[in-house]
Amino acid sequence: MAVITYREAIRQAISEEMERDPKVFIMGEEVGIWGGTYAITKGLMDQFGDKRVRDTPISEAAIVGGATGAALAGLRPIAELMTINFGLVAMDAIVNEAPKYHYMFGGQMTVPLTIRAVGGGGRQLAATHSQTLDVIFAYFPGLKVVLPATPYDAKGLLKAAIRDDNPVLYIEHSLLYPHKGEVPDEDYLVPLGKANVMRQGSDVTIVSYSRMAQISLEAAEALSQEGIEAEIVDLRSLRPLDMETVLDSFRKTFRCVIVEEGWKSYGVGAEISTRIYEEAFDYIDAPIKRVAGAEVPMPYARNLEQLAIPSKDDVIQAVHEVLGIA
Amino acid sequence: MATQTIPLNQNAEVNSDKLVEMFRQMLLIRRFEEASEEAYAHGQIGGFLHLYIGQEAVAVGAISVLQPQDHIITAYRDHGHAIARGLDTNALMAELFGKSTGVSHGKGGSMHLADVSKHFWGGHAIVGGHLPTAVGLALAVQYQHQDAVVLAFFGDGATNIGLFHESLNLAAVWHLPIIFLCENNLYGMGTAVSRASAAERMVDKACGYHIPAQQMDGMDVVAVRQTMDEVVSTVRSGSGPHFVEALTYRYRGHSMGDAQRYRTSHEVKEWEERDPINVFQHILIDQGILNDKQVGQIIREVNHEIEVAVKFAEESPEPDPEALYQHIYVED
Amino acid sequence: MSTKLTMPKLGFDMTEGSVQKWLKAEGDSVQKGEPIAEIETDKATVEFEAPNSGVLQKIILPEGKTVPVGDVIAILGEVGEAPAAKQENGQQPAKTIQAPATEQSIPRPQAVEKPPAKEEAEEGELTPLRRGPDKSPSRPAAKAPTRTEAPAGGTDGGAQDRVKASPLARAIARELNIDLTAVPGNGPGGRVEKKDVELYAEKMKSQAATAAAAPAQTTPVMAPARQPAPAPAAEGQLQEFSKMRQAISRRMTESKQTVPHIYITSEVDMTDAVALRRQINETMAEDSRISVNDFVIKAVARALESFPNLNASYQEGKLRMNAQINIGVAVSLDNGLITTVLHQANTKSLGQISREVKQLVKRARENKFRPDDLQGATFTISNLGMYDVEEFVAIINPPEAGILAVGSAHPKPVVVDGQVVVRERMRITISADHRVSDGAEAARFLQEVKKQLQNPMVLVVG
Repeated sequence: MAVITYREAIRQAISEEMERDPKVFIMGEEVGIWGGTYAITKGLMDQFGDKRVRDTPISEAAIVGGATGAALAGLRPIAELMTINFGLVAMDAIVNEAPKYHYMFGGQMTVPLTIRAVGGGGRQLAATHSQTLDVIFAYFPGLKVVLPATPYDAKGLLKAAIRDDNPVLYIEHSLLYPHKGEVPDEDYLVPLGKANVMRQGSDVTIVSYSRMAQISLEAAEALSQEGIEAEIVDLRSLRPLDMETVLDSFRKTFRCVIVEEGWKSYGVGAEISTRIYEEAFDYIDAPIKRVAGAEVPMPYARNLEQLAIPSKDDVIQAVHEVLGIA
Repeated sequence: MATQTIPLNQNAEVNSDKLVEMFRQMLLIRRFEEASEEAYAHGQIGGFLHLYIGQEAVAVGAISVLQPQDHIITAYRDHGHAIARGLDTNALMAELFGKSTGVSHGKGGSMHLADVSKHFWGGHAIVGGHLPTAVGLALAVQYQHQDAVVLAFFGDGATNIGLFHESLNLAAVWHLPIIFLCENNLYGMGTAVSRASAAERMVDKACGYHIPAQQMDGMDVVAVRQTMDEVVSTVRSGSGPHFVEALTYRYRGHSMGDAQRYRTSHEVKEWEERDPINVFQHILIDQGILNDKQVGQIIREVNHEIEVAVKFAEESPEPDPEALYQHIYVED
Repeated sequence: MSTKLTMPKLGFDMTEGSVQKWLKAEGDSVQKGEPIAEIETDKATVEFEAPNSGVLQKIILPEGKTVPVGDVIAILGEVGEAPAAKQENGQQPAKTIQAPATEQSIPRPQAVEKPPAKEEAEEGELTPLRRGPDKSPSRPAAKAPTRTEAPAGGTDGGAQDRVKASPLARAIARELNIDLTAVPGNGPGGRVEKKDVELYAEKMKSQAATAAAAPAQTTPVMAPARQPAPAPAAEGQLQEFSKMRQAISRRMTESKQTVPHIYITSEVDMTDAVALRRQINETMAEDSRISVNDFVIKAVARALESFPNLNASYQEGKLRMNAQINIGVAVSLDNGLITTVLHQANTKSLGQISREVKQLVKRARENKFRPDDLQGATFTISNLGMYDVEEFVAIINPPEAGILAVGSAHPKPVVVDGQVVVRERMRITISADHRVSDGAEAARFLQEVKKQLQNPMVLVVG
């Protein structure tokens, strides 16, 4: 077991998969000579050459659409979007082309495509560059959407995504890049569509994913000092969604807080809580609580931005509320 | 517009069998479209139905020069391209009827005909949405050093969307083996090219990306074949992308139920006088390649094939309800 | 036509029982298969279902009173039939009782003054009458009897809906038959939550126990001179035995006093079984994993095929050779012990045994038995392996001929081929009824069980 950063875990996954399979290549803005805007692909061009580490023009639709075509013809491309916000100009390619082909053409076509993008706020990039858009993409059947919260998952999920025969959107969080964790030395995969119980607890279930899973973990450690043991379910994948793990935990704790960085309206919390109502109504011992980002375009000013993003204290407060502690 | 035809004897590579086959394909497309128009009126076909009548020479002439390893991708007016590529008319008609025996098992319909085994990567319904995909197919060819080209069909309307420009630029930057074939039928739905596009010549749009471009007479199958033969050879030899504009015309509305307020019946009549099938038939008879009797025989064969296709479509089963949840994902 | 409902026999050795709770009141209409009472036997509380649809005309056996099996406990009449006799308790307004239950089970006040609906149907006035309840402005009044019909313990429906309670609290209250209106809510805004219901249930239990113990406590007060009262701490509190405790006490005493037990112990090498189990469980979800006990059940059931005497019952000087091999599995509960029955265990796969035992144990812990769960065992296994027990001897559960007591499997140094090696060992002790079997046979039986467990693959494949 080596201790590496989330950033390094992603880089290793790309590098190892490219070494393993010559059909794997990466294309995107600044992935080559620059080494990636977030330094994820640093050194890969030297290692694999410009045929397999391809700088592109600023053409997100053509990046994702082009990778889709290459995937149709049997390659296993990784299309990098500099940030998920730029995915909005490639919406047709991400949600209306790649995820539809297998179904719409009666199973003839497969699209083994991985789209990588970074999301989330917290770096003072203001309204257009700080969004958490996960649920928009998770809305579409045919696309898989995964979001690692730890270096272990970052590597295992990305390798699994690259080897998956379906289009997978893999969303990183920029504030997690320096986060360190243990990663096995040998090859391993983290299955797509399987949630992870990050921490065991009996008093309340906190459902979260990506950076908010780490924030929830910090909150859980603080709550533990008060004698409250929170169980944390890291969804890891928004589609397919692993409700079994969530429900198993909920049927143990009877109380739930859902923590997401995105906006509350129509969000992950709305989905998860509704499914709990549908599947485990008789196990509900308190109203389910959602912690989510403030419903505003992200402001630039540091203090305002911090107010807009859920914090450890927000999670602690929500847990207190579902436990009836004023 | 120039209406010159190329004397057949200038094109030594075209043997008479190939010409007869092209003629048969054009008739087959025409008859397929007429039969589907009828079935639509009977309520046997749902959704949109975009007929290719009038444009047959483009698909048949262009695809006639391709090799099996080459790739084809097109937009939603895709019946003609599918037939020209040799997709089974039974399975094509069954797809229009929404039957399980359709090329896409009844999941795609008229706009989504495909047969991967023939490298026919589909009709695509989002205007311009398939152009980046086409570029990607060409990237895969280049990446794997394959001896293949990609032929991407699209209409004049698609040249006004951003996807078109991103695709042309990326293909040119990466020097990809792709031919962008724009079928300019003068209308993007009901909006005339002159009202929608600042550049009325589609070829002009390729210039900005340093992509070689030329126009051809899309009503003349021989001209199309000759132009495409040269273009495909050039691209196959590693020239990078190429752009071709076929000047053509659709006789029917954009889709079914189009009142066609945007054009006069006189205009349609003028184009019908240059009907690509009639023109080609006269050439073949003049050149002594076919006689009237042989033409009659081909027409009967084509009519029979389409009758069989309609019957096959009618009698085929609907998709099993279980198919609803099949093929959302590739299962392990 | 009315039907006499009698105290059912809910176990092959059940001789008497009591109605712990009537779930229906006199005059209630009941559907075939609908639970109408909870019958308490000495083992468990089992729901008693209506044998056919009709109206519960009369309750003969009051709650809590014990009668022999076969005694009439209630009368079930047909829909529209008048009650057999005037009711005794007078809890319900006569009007409600007399009102014929319509198909919708909503008696309307008007119906009392009119001939029964059945006759009206024959007169062809069906439509206007049936429409009545829907259109009648007196609809709220028509609902009133429905409310009084609701049994006190019911947690669903009108009155309960006005209690602020979490869905979980409601579910638990329904399970424990607790009236939520009586439970103080300590959640936000006075909401009743799980802990409130559990606290209330606990309190009710201890109150019942205190009430039962009260007369005993008064004794020393009434006769202070006769005997010095022991110090309260030493004396403790005298409690009534629960039904289950009474049964255990009676049957175990009977067994130890009348059945001559013979005990034989053997040590089994479980190394391979433990390894195989681990291997199997690696591929299984947590809740479907196979236990060591599942292996033991399978091995014992298989072995019994060759030892019919140990699968027999001593019965009045004769031996009943049982046709099936039904393994009793002793389950410890908070308030005692119950033996649930895995029928025809020898015919079941290891996976099937594992699944069914899990369900049996779950039902036992939730006190939700099916009649089959408790009767028909021909041989019992008691496993205390989870308590780090080296070995123990168990008391036979009459009329069975034997019981196997299973200790913990744990690593031990043993000599194999002249070498000291560490192996997983487990001790098993059979108690056999010496009237039907003897030491040698019981020993051979143990050998057979041991052989099976030491070649665990045959248990998986077979």
